Amino acid sequence: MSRSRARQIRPLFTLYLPVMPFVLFALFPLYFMLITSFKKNAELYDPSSIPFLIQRGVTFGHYQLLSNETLFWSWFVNSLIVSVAATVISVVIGILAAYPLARMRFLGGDSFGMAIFITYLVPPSLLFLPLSTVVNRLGLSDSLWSLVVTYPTFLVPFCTWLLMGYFRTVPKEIEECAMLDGCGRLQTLLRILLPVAVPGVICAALFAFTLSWNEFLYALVFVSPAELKTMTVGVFSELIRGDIYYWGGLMAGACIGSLPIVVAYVFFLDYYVSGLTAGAVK
Amino acid sequence: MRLETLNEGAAKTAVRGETPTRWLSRALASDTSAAYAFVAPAFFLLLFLVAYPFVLSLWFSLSDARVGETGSFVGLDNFRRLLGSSIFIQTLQNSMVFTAAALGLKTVLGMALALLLFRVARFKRLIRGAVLLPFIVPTALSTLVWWWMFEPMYSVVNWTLKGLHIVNHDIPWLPDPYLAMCTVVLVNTWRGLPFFAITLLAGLVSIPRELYEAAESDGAGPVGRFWHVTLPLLQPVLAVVILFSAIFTLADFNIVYVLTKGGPMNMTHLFATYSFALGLQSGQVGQGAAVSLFLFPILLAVVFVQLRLVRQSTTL
Amino acid sequence: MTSRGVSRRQFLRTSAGAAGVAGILASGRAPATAQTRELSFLTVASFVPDTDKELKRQFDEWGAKNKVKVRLDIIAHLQLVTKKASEVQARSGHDLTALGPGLGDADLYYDYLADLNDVATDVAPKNGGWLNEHDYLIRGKWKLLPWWMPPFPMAVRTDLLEKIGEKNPDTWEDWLRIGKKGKAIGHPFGTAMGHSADANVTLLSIMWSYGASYVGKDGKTITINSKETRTAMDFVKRLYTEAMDPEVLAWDDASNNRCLNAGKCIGIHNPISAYESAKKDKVVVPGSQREIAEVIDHVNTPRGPVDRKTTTGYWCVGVWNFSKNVDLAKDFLRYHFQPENLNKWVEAGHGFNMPFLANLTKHPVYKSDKQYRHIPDVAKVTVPPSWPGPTTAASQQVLDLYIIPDMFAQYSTGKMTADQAIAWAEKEMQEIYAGRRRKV
Repeated sequence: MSRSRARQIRPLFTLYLPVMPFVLFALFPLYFMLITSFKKNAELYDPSSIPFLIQRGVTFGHYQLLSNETLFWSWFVNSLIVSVAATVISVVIGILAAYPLARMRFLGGDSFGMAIFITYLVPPSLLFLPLSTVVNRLGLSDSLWSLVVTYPTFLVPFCTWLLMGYFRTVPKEIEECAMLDGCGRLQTLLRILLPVAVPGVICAALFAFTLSWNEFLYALVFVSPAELKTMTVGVFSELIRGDIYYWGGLMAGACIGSLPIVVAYVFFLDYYVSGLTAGAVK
Repeated sequence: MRLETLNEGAAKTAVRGETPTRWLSRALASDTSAAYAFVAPAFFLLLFLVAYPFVLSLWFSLSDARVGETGSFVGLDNFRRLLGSSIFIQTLQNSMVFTAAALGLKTVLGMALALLLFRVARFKRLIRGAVLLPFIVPTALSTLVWWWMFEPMYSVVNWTLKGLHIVNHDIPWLPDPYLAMCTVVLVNTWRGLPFFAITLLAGLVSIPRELYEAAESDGAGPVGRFWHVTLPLLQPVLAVVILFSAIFTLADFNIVYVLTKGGPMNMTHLFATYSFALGLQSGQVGQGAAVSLFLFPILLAVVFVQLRLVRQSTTL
Repeated sequence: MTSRGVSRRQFLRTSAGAAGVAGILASGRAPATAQTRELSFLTVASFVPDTDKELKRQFDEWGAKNKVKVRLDIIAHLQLVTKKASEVQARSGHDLTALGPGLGDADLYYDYLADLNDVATDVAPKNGGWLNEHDYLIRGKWKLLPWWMPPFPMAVRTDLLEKIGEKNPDTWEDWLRIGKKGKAIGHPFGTAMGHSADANVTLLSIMWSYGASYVGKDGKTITINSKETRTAMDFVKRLYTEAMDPEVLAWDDASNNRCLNAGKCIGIHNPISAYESAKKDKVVVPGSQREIAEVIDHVNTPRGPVDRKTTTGYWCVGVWNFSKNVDLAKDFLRYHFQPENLNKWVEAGHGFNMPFLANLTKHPVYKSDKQYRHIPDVAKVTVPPSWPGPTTAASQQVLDLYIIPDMFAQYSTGKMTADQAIAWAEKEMQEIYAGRRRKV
């Protein structure tokens, strides 16, 4: 009797108690973001008030400011369009490239695999200048297309790398069977490999979506018109005015801005972990 | 079991798959041409949108280019000048300290967290999700929260420490050069820890249970199992995670730009922020490019060797 | 609040309509028809949102009159740097652009800016002439029009002055004394000393007040290594250790506003934005019912033993020469710089944005609030940061790399001796000026 009690209680001390500091560390800034977005300015800027709590009443003023006095919802939709489009494109290109790199031997294959990784070494803070010339020549500046086209530059390498690892974990025999049955490479990829690799694909897509959603520099540089801005850039340009920061509004933007990603992860968390299991490991 | 059903599926699709993609299949009949065709989109994307701008950046670093100009070739002049600049030497030193400290913290804490998460059974999804959050909320905005938390006047951190009577005065988190470095390291750790934890967790999941059982029957305790089973088997994952993270940590821009702008007294400048100040604010594109490419040759070598090693250890 | 909200919404809707954007979900590009002319203008979000609204109104009005489709894009001022660089690199972007802070862009982007000599001479007489014409000419040309500046008076807490038995201060020494007394009762003086624009402004003001400067009149000789700089450094060290909290080393441009509005700082050197936002948010002095805005007064920027001088962000406007609409852009500038339009624009900004034109410094708005009474005086003693040298890309780079705040901070914190800190700054500045010399 007492032994089973002990077995129940022990994890409390050896497991859940040690996990708590990590969870608090991760969540506190986000909690702080949330309550700041609901605080009245008078309380927010009063150093004698307790920062953890809202004591002088909740206000939706910051959210109203966002949605009534800025184009927040347009920016939100823009971010969504761009992120979804860039993700789809990158995952497709990534799948196509990852398959031969993982499974076939061909001249230059290894070097290309390496080159893909090396693109990570190229600092984006530098790349955007020459890239702005390219975007302009393509006639894409000031349109959401400029982002849909440029985001894959940092998404494709990641998706390819992750999926390469994932494809390697799929037993070769499955594929060979299909080939013997007369399937071409494309069919093998689409009908055999992909269904097995769903967790890896979802993982890559989630990652790509997150990176696109959070992107700031290209969105700032390539798109100027107010109604075409993405969420992060828009929030920054309207709520930081000279030496005044609209803290409540910025935090409100951050909260709404985090929602779609959080929702996505809630649904796909398990795929994410299992996708990484294979992808990043091999 | 799973393999069998898959085989069945494969057989079925093989029968069905004789229709519209046939011409494609034939075109892709030769393995090599198929491979090239598959890789082509990625290849051209990277060629035009990464390689071309990158080569231009390389050229910038060897030229006296200013914004808008191509500049003329000056050899390694930019690099030589950087080595003579005390701000750059400081930046170099900061980047090393920053990367080493953040990477060390993330590795140790990430490993600890992964081991804990692995055993968590109750509220599993909730806890994993919570821990992952810092990694996925938009950085541009989450860094602002941290700034707000360390803002000298309204700092919730100082408020708490004072409230708990741990200190009796405000701690100068961002004004003090050393604390400022600690703070940016902390924020970087906050943001990067989930990546370590979740990826290492993924690695842990893939270690076969039997190995632990075998070790246990050999009389290994929890510590022994960690050293002799977990760590060696996690090594490839760990190597890739650290490599990835080292690259991204070294290139960090946002955290420093928002929290300190490289101050106080240039003690938190990193390559990206200093390159920004030189290359964009001052228009000296050549020098800015030299700053951000300063470590490129070294990184290239490290990545090359590391990837070779990882690949060897996984394919064997 | 609600009525403002509605008007803002209407404004956004009409603006979207005017820009001819069919919908966000459409192709994402404004349809470009051959007949309609288009003019685009990139500007930075003003501290007073009404200023942007007024500018937008004028732009639309001008567009309607001249049958030109207009587009005003607004970004945060921190992001202007990136935007300018990429537009120049791509040789494409907006026609009109805000430039600054500082006149340095005229030198930095000299080859990419259209000459505005004609516009500058056209608009000056109607507005009583430029304040200091010589400062704005870069290599003898008008590459940009100085547009507006936020003058830097001193904001002071009158209730605290009473408490410590002081009157409105006028010299830097007064401020040191007041800061000391204030710090003793928990209300220090506050001025940024880290990597921020405010730090450059205040520390340069102190240097000039004590007779020091960083570059000579010729725009080449580095003059930082002087007896006067040492005096200024000693003063700042005392100010830092005796009258301020160490947190000033990490301050950004917004920190002193917060310090004043949180009821902590006894005084700050800053544009009137702090006061304006205190008034708007109805912030009260902690532990009392009095509003902060009621116990603030603004006085002239302080005088030192040698001089009374200060600087500020010189916000400018220019036309890219790769624009296809240089003449249209100039036309709009002439329109905006008409006295009645400038007057309305200054009115909308509550005096925060002061043009560099003589008549506008006498705008009635500066008499509308007793707080603004010294602003025209401050404007009179405001010079570009490179004073007495000309503004160049190099002089701007000294500011962008925060050499001056770092020099003061290294001495004030005891990290270096005065000589070491000055020698360090001198070397950095010489490097910058040498690296900038054009090899043509």
